[in-house]
Amino acid sequence: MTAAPAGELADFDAVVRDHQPAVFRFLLASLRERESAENLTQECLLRAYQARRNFRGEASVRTWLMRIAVNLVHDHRKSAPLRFWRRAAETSLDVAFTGDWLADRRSSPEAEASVREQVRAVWRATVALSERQRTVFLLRFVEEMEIREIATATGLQEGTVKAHLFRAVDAVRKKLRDTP
Amino acid sequence: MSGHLSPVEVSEWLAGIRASAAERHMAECAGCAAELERANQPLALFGAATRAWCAAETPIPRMGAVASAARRRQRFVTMRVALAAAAALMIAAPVYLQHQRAIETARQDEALLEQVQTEVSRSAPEPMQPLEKLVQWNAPSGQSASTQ
Repeated sequence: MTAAPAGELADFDAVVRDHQPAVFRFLLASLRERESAENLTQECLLRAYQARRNFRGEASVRTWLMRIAVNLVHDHRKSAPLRFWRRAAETSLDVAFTGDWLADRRSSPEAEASVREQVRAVWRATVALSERQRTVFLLRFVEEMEIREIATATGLQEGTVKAHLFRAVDAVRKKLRDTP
Repeated sequence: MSGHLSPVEVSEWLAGIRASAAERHMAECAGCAAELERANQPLALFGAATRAWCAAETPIPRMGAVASAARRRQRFVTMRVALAAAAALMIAAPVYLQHQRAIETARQDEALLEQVQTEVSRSAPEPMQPLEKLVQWNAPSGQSASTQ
């Protein structure tokens, strides 16, 4: 007989409320395609619900959910290679970076243009990264996870995470230097 | 560490790879700290912009949706198992019945063969059996009966 889900997972509606935005964010940033991100978010939460009795609390719920999400992205990429990324990399740009976020910064038009260009350059640079590099890059700079958490979420050693992250950061910085 | 952080060392720092010499240098070099800040800025902006974009796109969480989806999936799995079992039964039942019929036919053939064997092994046809018994009954004294 399996034990009842412990602690945080006992109220799964609260898990959905607290963690769905982060899961969706990671999936949308990874896939850059809203419909797939939404479907995989549901799948991620469903898998977590079905496996909730196996959760031992060795990692946080967020990290545990991210691990499921990382695996889903990996499976999704195998079934639908980079075409989503390549297509969405351009089409999503304006939607992504002309929203309220820039308006709230109350900066000059020139500064705003500079920020927009920097963000756009990073966005484009991430397209060229390998899947693992992109995953650790997004977990670090979008999800702001610690190296240890990223290691747990990806199933990699901390040293391997750092190596992938270094290659990703270095590649992005090189692209930025090449951007006029 | 002799000089300032190289571009590769800045990337290493941003990736969480921090040699103790670099840490000592960073503690006392305002130039490198500023360079690190400049290098980190586009990455931080990217993170903030992506979070803002995703926040605008995030669907409203539906409470109870996951549990009901899990129940639907469980029902679907159960139905698939039931259908698979029914299909297996539909395939297996005729095979079993055919096998049973073959056994029954073989048993009947065996009985018939035995009956034929019995008939063939008789020394006289069935209607003449009473006569044969009569002859056998008279046999010990039959010799005298036939000679008398």
